[in-house]
Amino acid sequence: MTAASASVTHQKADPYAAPRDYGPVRFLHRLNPLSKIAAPLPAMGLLLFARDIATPLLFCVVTLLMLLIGAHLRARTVLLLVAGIPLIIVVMSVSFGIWADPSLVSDSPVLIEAGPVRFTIGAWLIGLATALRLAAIVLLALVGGLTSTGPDLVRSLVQQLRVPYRLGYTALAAFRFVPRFGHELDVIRQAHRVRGISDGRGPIAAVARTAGYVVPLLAGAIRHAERVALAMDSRAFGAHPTRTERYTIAFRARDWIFIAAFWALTAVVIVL
Amino acid sequence: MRTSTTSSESDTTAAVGAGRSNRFRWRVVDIVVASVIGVAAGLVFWLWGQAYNPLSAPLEAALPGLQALLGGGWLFAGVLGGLIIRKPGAALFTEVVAAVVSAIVGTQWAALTLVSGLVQGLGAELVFALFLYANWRAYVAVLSGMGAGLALAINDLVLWYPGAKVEFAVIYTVCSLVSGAVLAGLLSWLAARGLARTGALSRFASGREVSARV
Repeated sequence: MTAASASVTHQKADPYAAPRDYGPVRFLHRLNPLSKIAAPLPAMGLLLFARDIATPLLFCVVTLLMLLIGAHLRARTVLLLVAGIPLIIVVMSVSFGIWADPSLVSDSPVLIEAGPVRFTIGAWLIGLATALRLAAIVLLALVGGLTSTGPDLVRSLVQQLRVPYRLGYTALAAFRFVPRFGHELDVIRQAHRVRGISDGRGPIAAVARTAGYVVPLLAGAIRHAERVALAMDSRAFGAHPTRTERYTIAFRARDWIFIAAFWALTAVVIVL
Repeated sequence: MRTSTTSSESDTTAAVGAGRSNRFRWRVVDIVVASVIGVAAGLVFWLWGQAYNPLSAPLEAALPGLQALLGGGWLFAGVLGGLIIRKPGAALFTEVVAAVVSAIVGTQWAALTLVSGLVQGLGAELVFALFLYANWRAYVAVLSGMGAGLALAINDLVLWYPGAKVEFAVIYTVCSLVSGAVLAGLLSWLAARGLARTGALSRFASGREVSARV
C-alpha cells in the first residue's frame, strides 16, 4: 500500500515522465504540445489589434468551455477559471478605463465624478475591451499551458520543429537548477553572518544586503554550470547531429484537425 | 582544472569541424551558462514582480507613466547574458529563458510575460548585433539596455495601454529608456565585471579579458 502510493506520488513528481492520458473526453491531453500553441496563435494575433468587446468576449467563452471540457483540471484551477478571471476582468476594466484618453469618449455619460476626475461609461468600455483582450490571450495560452508539461514541449520542439537539441535539452536541464539557487543563497547568507557582516536595519539596508548576494550567487551558479557543461561534454553531448530520445511525441492527424478547426473559427470571426 | 578545461575545449573544437567560424559557434558551456543566467534572472524577475505593485503605485500617482522607471528590472537578463556569453542570440535566449521561468513560477501577467520576454530580448540583441558582436564596452551595454527599454515601451503601449494619451506614451517611453539604460545596461555591465573579477568566467572571453588586465 505505502509502496504503491509512494510510486504514484513519485510519478506525479517526475515532470520528465511520459504524458498521462485522461480518456477521449479530455482530448487536450492527447494533442501534441505544439498544436496547442499553433492553433490559438492567429487568434492571439487578432486579439492584439482588436479594439471591440465582442471578439475577445467570444474567445474568452469558447476557450473557457474548451478548457472545462477538454482538460483534466484540479478543483482549485476550475474555481480560478470560472470565478477568478471574471473578477480580474472587472477590476482591470476600471483601472484601464482610468488611463483611457478622455477626448475619445467626451460625449458619453459620466459614471463617477470626483473633483477633476471624470469616469465615463465610454472610458469604462475602453477599459473593459482591454481587460477582455488580455484575459482572452491568457486563456488561449492556458490551453497549452494547463494540459502539457514543459519537458514535453521541449521534446516536441526538438522532434517536430527541429530546434537544435543542444539548446532545447540544455535549457531543460537548467530548470533543475532552481532548487539549487535556494541552497546557494543559504550558504552565502551563512557565510556573511559568520563573518559578522552587518548593514544595519531598515529597507535601504535590506536592499543593499540583497544586492550583495547577486554577484556571489551568480558566480556560484556559473561555476556549477561549468561543471555541468564539463560533465555533458565528457559524455559527448552535442557531438553528433542527431540523438536518441527517451520517448517520442507524436504529431497525428488529430493535431492537424484541431489546428484547422481553431484557425477556421478565427477566420470566421475576422470575416464577421 | 586548467588542463581539463583546455582539453574539453579542444574536443568541442574538433567536433565542430574545420569549416565553420568558431567565434560565433555556441559551445555546450555557453548554452548551459546562458540557461543558468536565464533561470537565475527569471527568479529575480519573479521577485521584482512581487515588489512591483507597492513600488509602482506611488510613482504612478505622482505622474502617470513614471512606473516605467521600474521596467528595467525585467530587462537586465538579456544584456547580462549577451555581455557574458558574447555570442549571437545570447541576449535573446537568456531573456526568453528568464521570461519562461518567471511565467512558470507565476506572475500576475502569466503568459504575457513570454511576449514581453521575446520582444525585450530582441531589443537588447539588436544593439549587440549593430556592433557586430565585437564591442562589449559599458556604453554598448547601456545602449543595449536602452534597446530593450524601447522594446518594452512599444510592447506595453500596444498591449497594455492602447488609446492612452500622447503625454502618457512619451513619459512612459522616456522612463523605460532611462530605466533600461541604468538598471539593465549599467548594472548588468557592473555585474558582469564583478563576475569576471571572481574568476568564475575564466572559460569565457568576457572573463579572460578582465583577468588578463589585472
